[in-house]
Order: sequence, then structure tokens, then C-alpha cells
Amino acid sequence: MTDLDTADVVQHGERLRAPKVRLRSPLGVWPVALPAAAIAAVVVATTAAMRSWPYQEWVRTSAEFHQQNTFTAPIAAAAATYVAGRLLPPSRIFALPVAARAGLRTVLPQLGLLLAAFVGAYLLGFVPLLVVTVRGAEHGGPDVPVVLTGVLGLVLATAVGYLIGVVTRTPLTAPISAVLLFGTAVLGSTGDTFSALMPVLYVKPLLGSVQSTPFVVYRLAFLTVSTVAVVWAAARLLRRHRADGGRVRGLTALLPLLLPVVMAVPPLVSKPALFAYETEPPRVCRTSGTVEYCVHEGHRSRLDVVVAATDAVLERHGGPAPFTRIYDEALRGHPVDGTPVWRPDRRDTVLWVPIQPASPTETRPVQALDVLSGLAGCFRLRVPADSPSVEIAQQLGRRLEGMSTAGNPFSGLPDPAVRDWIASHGDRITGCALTEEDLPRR
Amino acid sequence: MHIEFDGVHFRYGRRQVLSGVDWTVGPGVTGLLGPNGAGKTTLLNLLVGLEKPHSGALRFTGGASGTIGFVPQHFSLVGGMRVVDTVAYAAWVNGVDRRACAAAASRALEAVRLEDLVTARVRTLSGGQRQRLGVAAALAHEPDVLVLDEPTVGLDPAQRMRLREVVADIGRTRTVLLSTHLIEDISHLCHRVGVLADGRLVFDGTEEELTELVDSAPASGVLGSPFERAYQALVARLGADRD
Repeated sequence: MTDLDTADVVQHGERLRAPKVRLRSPLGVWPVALPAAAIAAVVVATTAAMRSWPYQEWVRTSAEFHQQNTFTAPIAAAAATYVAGRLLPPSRIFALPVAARAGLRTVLPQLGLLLAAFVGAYLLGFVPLLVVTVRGAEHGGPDVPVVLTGVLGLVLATAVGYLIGVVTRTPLTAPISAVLLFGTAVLGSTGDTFSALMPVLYVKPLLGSVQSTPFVVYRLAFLTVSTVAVVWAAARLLRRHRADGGRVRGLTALLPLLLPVVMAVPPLVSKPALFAYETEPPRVCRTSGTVEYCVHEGHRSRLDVVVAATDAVLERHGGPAPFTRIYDEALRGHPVDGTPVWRPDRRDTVLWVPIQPASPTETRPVQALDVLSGLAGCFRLRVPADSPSVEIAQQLGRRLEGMSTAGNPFSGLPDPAVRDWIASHGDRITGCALTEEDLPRR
Repeated sequence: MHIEFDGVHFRYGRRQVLSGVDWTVGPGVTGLLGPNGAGKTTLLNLLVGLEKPHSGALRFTGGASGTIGFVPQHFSLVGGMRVVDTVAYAAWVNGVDRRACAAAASRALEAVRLEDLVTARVRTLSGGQRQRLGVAAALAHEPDVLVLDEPTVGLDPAQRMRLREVVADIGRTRTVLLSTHLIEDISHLCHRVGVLADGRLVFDGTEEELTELVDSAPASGVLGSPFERAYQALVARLGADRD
């Protein structure tokens, strides 16, 4: 952080060598570099699980930019409190309120350095995830406004920490800043009451949905206005003892903070919608037998997996598929003909399957298995979970999935025999009426 | 540079602290004496811009930059900072161009005779060195006026001597206003003295002129130098010693 080269000084006819000085970071390198390194490390570490996903989704990677505020914002705030608490008490010989640059002209360079270091470290921490997403995402690109909410969240946290340092005039309050900022992250995770105000959301968006535009725009505006207000208040506080400071005295220096307070009221009164479905989600479809399979373009590589897994189950089942479409839940924003809830008297059922990289389940066509094994009928009829018919449906489902488990009456039964048994018990399966007498005899 | 106080009044709430101070301070070291509560700190606060007079005016004439360097009675430093960074940063905060701060720090540290400690950590300095560092920080932006509020308080005799030498040197090229309640500071340093009592300037003259007051108003039982006795006599006569 040495930002000036050795300078020549001419004095008494002699040329003296002036030493290098640290003006940008007079406290030295560590108060800035250490938290910056911690921020980068936290982001790298806590996105490690995401990087191991079989494929990436830009919507998740973009959202991660604000979700990562949970631990990085407290670090940034605490570090800013430390720096401000060390440098800015008005008793400091270099921070007297009468100094020419006291106020905004001191705050901006100091805060600017902290922000450059912390935001830089934050973005650096995201590089591995971004690289993996660029390689592994099958559709789309970063949602820049959403990414910005995360960056602005970190900026605001740093500014708030700085203000706390200015107000309390001691670095000892750094832990308080950390706890406060972590508390706000937790506040945001308690539900959608404070979602518009806190960078961290309690729920992450999935592919096929987007953070609603009014919501994102409001968050960007709120975070920006709050940051400006906090910086402004800090600058006013530093000049409040000056005779030319006008009416800036005591707590009146904090008046700019009323701006975000007023701005916070509307979303608290009327909670905004966090997410919206993509109106025309791009899709990739394929028909196999009588079933149309569609997935979101971002799940393109999953289509074959879904089709193969479901085809195998239908093959073991043998009968006509009691549904016509299997759709990726990421396509919910797309209008689809057919009933979304399976009924035995309908053949136009659309089965919505969740496809997500965090816990891939496409190899297990659970929805299709539920319908084919009769479990969906049991759910519809609200048959108690411990009844024999539910257990038999579950055992049949496992057999259709290709699993062979001890004690399962369908295990070891050849596929043709299973198909024959299903054909002869079709009504009892769909009506959740199977009993032990119905089980196949060996 | 000359500083002119022209009928300056100031009050905190209902308490009148300064009542029509008329005073002109010129180049060199000028001492401001007065008992506790006389209004010395308020006068300095007005001078450096921390307060505004309720009436009257403060004028600065003849200076090059019109700037003031201020060393408050109580100031703090960051122990972990280097001496040179402390002064360079003070120079920057006081308006010096970023590229000129290193040179400004060097000059100021040489002026206070701390040039051998540029890379030392502040925490390693003695009390007297810290006080001189404060003066260097106030000097780094090359102000026309240097205002020192009780700079020798708490220093041992050797440190006081050192600081007085530094201040005397600075006074050769600048206007220095030194507030103190130590008579010896005045007698060793100042070519002129102002005595403030009960919010009024009750004396403005040289040390010798103040000493002459001994004859006009001898204070029985008071020990010390003639100057010291003169000051005590003056204060006793005004009935302003509220200690």
C-alpha cells in the first residue's frame, strides 16, 4: 500500500531523500489485505459444493452473489469499523475536524480503498464458480442486476461498518459490526418480510424462474440510496464540530439515514413478489412412445437421462403410460395443455419433474413411478401410510425402478410376470385397493 | 501573519465566556495566559474554526496560505503507525497534494527534530517526542499560524526544554499562539503575552511590561520569578482566579 515513491526534498541547499509514505492505507497493509483475503477465501470455500455439481445454472450462480453476503458482509463491516475506529476519532492529530479534507474528502478515499479491496476480493472469490458456470451452464448468462445486488450488499455492509467506526470512535466495536451485519443476513433468511431490504434471500431461485424486475430494481435502489446515506452521514459526523458545519450538530449528522428508513416502509407494508416464472422459457423436447418429454434449455443434457429412466420404468410396467407429458418444472412458466394432477380417468396428465443440479434425481422418475405403482392413487385417496395397499404400491414401485430388495414380493419375478400381474390388477392398483391376497404367488 | 480579534463575544448557552476581546497577534511566539475557565480554549477554538463568535470578528492578514496548524491539548496518535506516515497523512488531511506529502513530512519532522525517527512506530516514542510529533503533524501543511494548546503539560523538564526550542525555532518564521498556564513557558518562549481573565483580555504586552506590574500591584506571599509574581498579582487584582 505504499503509494508514493521516494521523493526528493530540497532543503537548505541539500537534496534529502524523503521516505516512502502510506497515504492510502496509513495503518499498513494488513487491516485491508487480511479481511480481503478472508472474504475471497469464504466465497471460494462456500461455493465449493456448487462447483461440484454436474452442470451449472446461471440463475443460481447469479443469486449466489447476494447469498454470499451472509459471511462476507460481517467481515467487511468489521474491518471497516476497525479502520474508521483507528483513523477517525476526532482526537487524532491527523483527523481534527478543522482539517481541510475532514469529511467527505477523507471518507471517500478511505472507504474507496476498502471497497476496492473487499469488492475485488469478493469478485475474485467468485472466479472459480464463474469459470465452472461458463463451462457447465447449458443456457443463458449472468443476471447482471442480480449480481449487482450482491456487490452493492457488500458495499453497503462496508459503509455501515465504517459509519459504526466513525460513531463509536473505536476499533473495539468491530465485533459489534460483524454481529449486526450477520444479524441482518439472518433477518433476511427468516422469510420474505425483509427480503427486499436484505441482500441475502431465504430461498434461492431455480432455473425457469427469475427474480422479479420490480424486486431487483427496488433492491438496487434501496442498497444504493442506503450506501449514499451512510457515507453522507459519516462525512457529516466528521465535520460536525466545525464552526462552518452549519447545523450539523450531534445526532443531526445522522439525518441522511432517514432516507433509507423512509424507503424501507413500502416493501414492509406490501411484500413484493420475489420471483417470477420465465414467460417463454426455452425448451428442448423429445417424444418417446406416447410420452412427450420437455426440459428447459438449461437442462438440455438431462433430457436423455429423464427419457431413458422413464422408458425403462414404462418398459417394466408394460401398459400404456397413464400420462402424456413429462415436463421439467423449470418450464412452469410455459402454458401446457393437460392436467397437472394425475387422475385415473384422465390420459392428458402432465407430470412435472424437478431437475436440479444440487441433488440430481432425474435418474429416478419418482413422479412416473408414483403413478404407475398406484402410490399417486393412494395419496389422492388419502389412504393411511401404514396400510398394506400403500406398502404394496411402494414395493411395486421399487420393482418397476429395477430395484431388488429382500422381502419385496415382486423381487425376482421376471419382467413378463410383473407386466401380467399389473395388467390383471390395473383397477386395484389405481384405486389403492391392493391386499396381500393380490400378491403374486410363486 | 497577523490575527485580529475585534470585539469578539462568545457564550455557551447563557454563560458568557468571552466578552469583547480585542487583540492583535503578530509574527513570533505569543503566549496566552489565564487561569482555568478564563476562556483560553474557547479563544483557540474560535481561532481554528471549531466555534464561531456570536459577535465581533476574527481577521487574518498578511499570510501566504491563510491556513492554521493546531495542536490541541489532548490529542491521540495511532501507536502502530510509523512516525512519517502520521505526519504525511496529517499533511494530506490538511490539504497537501498527495505527491507532496512525503516531502512535507520530512520537512516537518526535521523542524521538530524527529528526523532520525521517521520509520519508528509511534508507540515507541516518549511523551516529549509524541508532543513534537503532534507539532510536526500540525506543521506539515506549512500553516501561517501555529496554535498550541498547553503543549508542555505532562512533560518532564528535559522534554519541555526540547519542545520549547522547537517552538522557538518555528516562531522565527511563523505566527505562533501558545496557550499555557505555565509561566515558565511564557518567559522562555514568548516575545509578547496576552492575559485572559473572566472572558476579557486584561493584559497585552511584553514579558517585561508584565513584570513591571509587580511594582504597581505587589502580591504579598507569592514566591517565584518577578514575572510569575506579576502574573499572580494581576490575576489576584482582577479577582479572576477561580481555581
